[in-house]
Amino acid sequence: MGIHEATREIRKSENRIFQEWLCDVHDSGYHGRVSVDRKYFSMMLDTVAAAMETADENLTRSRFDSSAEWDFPGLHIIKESGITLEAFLAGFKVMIRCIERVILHSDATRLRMRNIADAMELAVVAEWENFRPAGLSLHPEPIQGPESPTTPEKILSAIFFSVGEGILLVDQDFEILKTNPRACEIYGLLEQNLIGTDIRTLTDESGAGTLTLFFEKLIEGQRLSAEITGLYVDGKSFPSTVTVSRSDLDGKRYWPIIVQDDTEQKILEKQLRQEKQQTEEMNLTLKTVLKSIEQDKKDFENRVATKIRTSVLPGIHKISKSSHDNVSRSYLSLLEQQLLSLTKGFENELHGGLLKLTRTEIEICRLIQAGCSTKDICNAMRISYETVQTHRKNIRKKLDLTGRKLNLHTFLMNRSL
Amino acid sequence: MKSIWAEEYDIVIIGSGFAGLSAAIEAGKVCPSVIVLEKMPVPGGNSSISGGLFAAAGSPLQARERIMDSPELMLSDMLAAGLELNNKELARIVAEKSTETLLWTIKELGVKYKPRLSHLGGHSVARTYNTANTSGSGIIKPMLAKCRDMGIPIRLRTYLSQFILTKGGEMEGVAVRENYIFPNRESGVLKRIRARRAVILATGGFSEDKEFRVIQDPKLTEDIESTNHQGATAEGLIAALKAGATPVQLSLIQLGPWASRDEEGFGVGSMFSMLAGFPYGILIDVRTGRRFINEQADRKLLVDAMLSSGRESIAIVDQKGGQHASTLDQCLKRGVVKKFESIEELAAANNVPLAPLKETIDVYNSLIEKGREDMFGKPLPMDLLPISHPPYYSIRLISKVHHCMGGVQINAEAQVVHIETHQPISRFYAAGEVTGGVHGASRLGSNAIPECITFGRIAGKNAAAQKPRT
Repeated sequence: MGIHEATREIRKSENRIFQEWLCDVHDSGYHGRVSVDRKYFSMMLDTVAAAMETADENLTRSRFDSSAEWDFPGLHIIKESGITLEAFLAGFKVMIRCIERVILHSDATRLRMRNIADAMELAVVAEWENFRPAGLSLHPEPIQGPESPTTPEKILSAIFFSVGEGILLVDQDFEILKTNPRACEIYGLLEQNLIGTDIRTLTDESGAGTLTLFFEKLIEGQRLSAEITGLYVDGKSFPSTVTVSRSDLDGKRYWPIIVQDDTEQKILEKQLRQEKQQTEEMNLTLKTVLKSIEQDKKDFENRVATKIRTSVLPGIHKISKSSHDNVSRSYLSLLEQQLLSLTKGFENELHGGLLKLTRTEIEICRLIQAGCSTKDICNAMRISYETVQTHRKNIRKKLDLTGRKLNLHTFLMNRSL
Repeated sequence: MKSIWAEEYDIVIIGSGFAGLSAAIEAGKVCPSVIVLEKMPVPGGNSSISGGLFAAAGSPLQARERIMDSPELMLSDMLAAGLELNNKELARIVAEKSTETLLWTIKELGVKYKPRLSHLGGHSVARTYNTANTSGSGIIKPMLAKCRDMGIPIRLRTYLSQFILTKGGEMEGVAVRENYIFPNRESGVLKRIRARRAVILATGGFSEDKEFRVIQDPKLTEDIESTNHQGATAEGLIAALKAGATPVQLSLIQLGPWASRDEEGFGVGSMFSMLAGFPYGILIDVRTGRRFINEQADRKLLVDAMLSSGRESIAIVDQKGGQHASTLDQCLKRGVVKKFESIEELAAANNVPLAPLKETIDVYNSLIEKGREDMFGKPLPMDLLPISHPPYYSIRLISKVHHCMGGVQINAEAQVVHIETHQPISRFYAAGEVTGGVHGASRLGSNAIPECITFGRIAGKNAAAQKPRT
């Protein structure tokens, strides 16, 4: 087999060589460091084949010693994929072995290819650091699970997690995709359980209906709120407020939902309502009371007016007309009685006796009312103790308190002087 | 003298998973005052995100499908997987009471199960029930509803900081931090709660406690993920050890071989592998395109094989097999399971060498068609179909820490055993993953729920039967 024939054979058997290469790379322990991408493999194989095609039949190792003549299309792309020189060489050498195993049987061609490969290897080693990465890159599939989040992503999720209200991100299937700790607390479910749950199972039938309606009619950017019943993990229902909005991402619709547990608010509202009702009832009672007081006042005024018209005024009339002292006096005492009777039922009922007191006696009464002792009164009025005692005796007599076990002070308490 | 106790209950239960809630329900039937304490802001813990798989020997579905099974057979499966490191007495109780416990969840809690059994790795026969929603929440929710009906409070954000014993060594109560903010151990307000009858520890495993688990098993370094929720940490276990409990086999920590590389935690992929990928498909090494183990082997054997010599594994199943996993749609949606119209496409996307893969599938299919025995010993039941119906599904697998077989030692009455006296600590019970010894070296899939609920109920009943102290 000539070298050109062998090259054609290599291109034809690319698939088989790739399969072999894949197994060997895994076995070599380089798996995970060597990119097992097919594009990467094809590029390497192509380069080797191209080198063989253009090679002089009498090619010797020395021709390739000069790196200036070296051409390895695509190496910069490979290098940019972040692969180490060591890993690259491992993948490359394994490929050469695979080519040998799959198609090259004649020692001559095998030797030839080895020479080319060795030369390429040397050149790559020499040039590795000089290859400047260009714009393109290969993306080898990450071997470990999901990539670690970037800082903006971390910041975003930190915000998401610290929000005081529950947040649920729901997709077109009503399935919860993302949530935060507060939402977990509200529904009593771990994040792992909440994610993947149908949002409609967290509310009752009418709540599910409301959400369905919102999802249908919301346009992007709009926001709607409703009070719906929420269901806690143990089946207990609670009042909640949901605020639903819509955001379209990559041609798909998502509904971020903010959830508030209204249990405490509802309790407060109820208390407030009860208090309001009580106040209103009180108001009504007060109004009635006021009305009846008004009525009483009117009645009283009528009564006084009538009394004055029927009894007092005629008395005064009679006094002014009469010339006899006796008649006048008897009318005056009648008048006095009439006026006194008008104050009947007052808190400070007038006492007929009070009218008979002299000015000095009234002054003494005021002092007694103020709580002064006889001695205090002596000092205040600059009169002797005996005089005060005499006055007190006279006052008791005039007020008709003689012989009664009633303290003068107590009697005077409720009277106006 | 002013009492150090802020509150007093007949029974104080720590943890609100399967074990804690089962104990609460049983205890609540006898005692008027039972309280469940939970450190997280949400009840249910790891139980609520488990797959909801329940193994029961001699169940009604087995009778209907004429599957011969017995507690003896289940026990021997447990001992085989557990490499006989099991506490036989405890393992026997789980096997013997498995069906009774299953029926209790149906009759007393109203749990809904799928009308079909699954055959999980390491079990001799199909004996696994699965909740209707393919999740442990299908049991936790009815348990929480029952507690609500019975008026048993679940106090959230309440963290057990230590147990308080009497001078005579009896369990008397707990010191907790109320309004605790996980995982800040200094948060919350300290308070002491007294138990008139008993305290029940049901705080689960410590798969998410990276610091503690690497001490027990240095191979389980920080970069190894777990399927557990973030609250699966070791504080409850440590508090019990400080109170004199006996540690058992703490270094026996199980990894799950079925978890997906393309999502965090237990996710939706795990149940796809368990219900479809392993029983109805094949597990291959990406590097070679060939099978390397009985897909239905128990978890430990699978994980050991998958981790040896840096293997990278995927499970492949066709349309017929894929339909056994109720989580398929969710897996596809989240990109955990990928769908291909041909084996060629599947091989290219997973960088699997095509020729050996095709050969592997051909050999496997011919075993099924001709009814031959599998060289890896995979059971090939009569109803198993060859992998030949497109579309084909693949899932990339990675082992994740899943279950702690070890924990505190209990006796058959669920009493915690003292490390020095080997006698039960008075008025102190434990149940569930926080206890050790039932499963030995490896827990069979779907055996955790029967264990948690069976011993949870035993603990609840026995705690309630204690005479209240004055």
